[in-house]
Amino acid sequence: MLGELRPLGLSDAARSLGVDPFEVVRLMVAFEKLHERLLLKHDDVDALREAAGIEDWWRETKLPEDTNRLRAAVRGALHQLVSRRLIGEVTTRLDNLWRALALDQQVAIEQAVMMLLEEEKLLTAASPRGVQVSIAPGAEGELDAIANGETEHAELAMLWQGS
Amino acid sequence: MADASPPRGVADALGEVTRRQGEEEARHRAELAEVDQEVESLRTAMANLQQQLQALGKFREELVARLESVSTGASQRTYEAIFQALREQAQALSGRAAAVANVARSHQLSVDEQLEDEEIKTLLTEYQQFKEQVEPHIASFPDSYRAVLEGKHQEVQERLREALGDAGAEPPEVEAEAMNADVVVAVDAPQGVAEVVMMVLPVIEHVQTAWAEREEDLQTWLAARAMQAVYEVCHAFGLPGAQAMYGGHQGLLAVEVELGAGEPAAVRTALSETLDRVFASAPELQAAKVEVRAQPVDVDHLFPPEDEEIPEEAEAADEEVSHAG
Repeated sequence: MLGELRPLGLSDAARSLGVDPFEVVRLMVAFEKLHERLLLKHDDVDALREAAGIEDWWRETKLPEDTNRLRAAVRGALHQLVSRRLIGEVTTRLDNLWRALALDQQVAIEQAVMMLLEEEKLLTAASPRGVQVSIAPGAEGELDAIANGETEHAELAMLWQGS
Repeated sequence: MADASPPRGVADALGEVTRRQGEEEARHRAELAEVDQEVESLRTAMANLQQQLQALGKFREELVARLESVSTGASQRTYEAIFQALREQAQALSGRAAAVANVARSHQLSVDEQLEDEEIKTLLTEYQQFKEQVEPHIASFPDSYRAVLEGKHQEVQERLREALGDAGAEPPEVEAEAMNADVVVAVDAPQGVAEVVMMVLPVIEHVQTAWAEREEDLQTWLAARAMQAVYEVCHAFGLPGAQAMYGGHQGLLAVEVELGAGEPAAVRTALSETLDRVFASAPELQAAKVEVRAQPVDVDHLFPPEDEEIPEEAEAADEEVSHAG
């Protein structure tokens, strides 16, 4: 109970937000929430979450059923992008795609994003809110088919082979 | 009239020709022999000079090699000196971090004692009662009553936060000798524009790569202040979206930030000044008696010389980690 009343250190703020402590520092600089000490009020943490668009998609939502856990993670992340209509200039933080998932699933999603960026099916941009990602206009259909398991993408398939 | 001399016979004339021819031949042969000897002497001299040239050429190559090895050795010695100093500082900081943590624990005990204060205990009881008995049902209360309860709770909460916040307002102060530490910083600008900022900190890489498994400590704070300064500089140069990448080099935390903008000298100056200012005004570093300074270096001195073999385990330890956290 006392924890609610005490200011948070960097690591506790980072745990609360689901980023690392130095990303907390970056956001504190970007959104002018730096105090004399490296402590954050709970309200500051909430304000940073809001300002940076940090979301926790997988707290309530389950990954799609799949015999392969990495494919499930990639399909789930793509489904979120499609269903939230995150296309073109409507973006989200890149790490929203994998926050709170297991480490191997986080890595698989990150690698999948890199592949799809090379194929120009996804877009990323640097922003004070953090690295942003969205679907390249016109690629929604193909990504939706991958997310639904209707299409097998040969390059992506290499990510989950052997898992 | 008397004849002076009788005319020569043809045989004599021919004899004379033969004698002269013999003399001429002998003279030419002597000259030729002389020239041949001179040529031979010159050839010998040339061969000697050629040998001397070859010897000098070889000696020159050795001198060039020695010169290069001095230069390579200097690079390697500079690189090793930088990282040796940073490793020693990291070790000292680790010891200082433990001292700070001890003070913080003692400090926490005194804060806990403060919770025994009657007024604080009363406020805590009120706070707890609201949380456990009122808040779960508050939506069902009439608006005016709910507003009164929430207002009262807000007041209690603020007073408690104030009390607990004040108790932890000062960072843990150690009684120890002041110690120095350096943050090594370089700007890579191969095309005349500041492309990348590189920084190596006197803290172990696990401060970032294993932050979730370790307690936040003095090393975390030092690294955080360094990142604060770097991001302030990025903002100043119109790069508010710049994002650092972290990794380990020789067990130390290394940071890279892509800029792609800014006049290199201006970026170097801004980094040094901002780092020094941020470190100097950080209360937690002051209380820990740690004076941190920016140490600008040539970017080449942050990498091992090219011909040096990196041991496999060191190479594995140098793998870059994601910034995603």
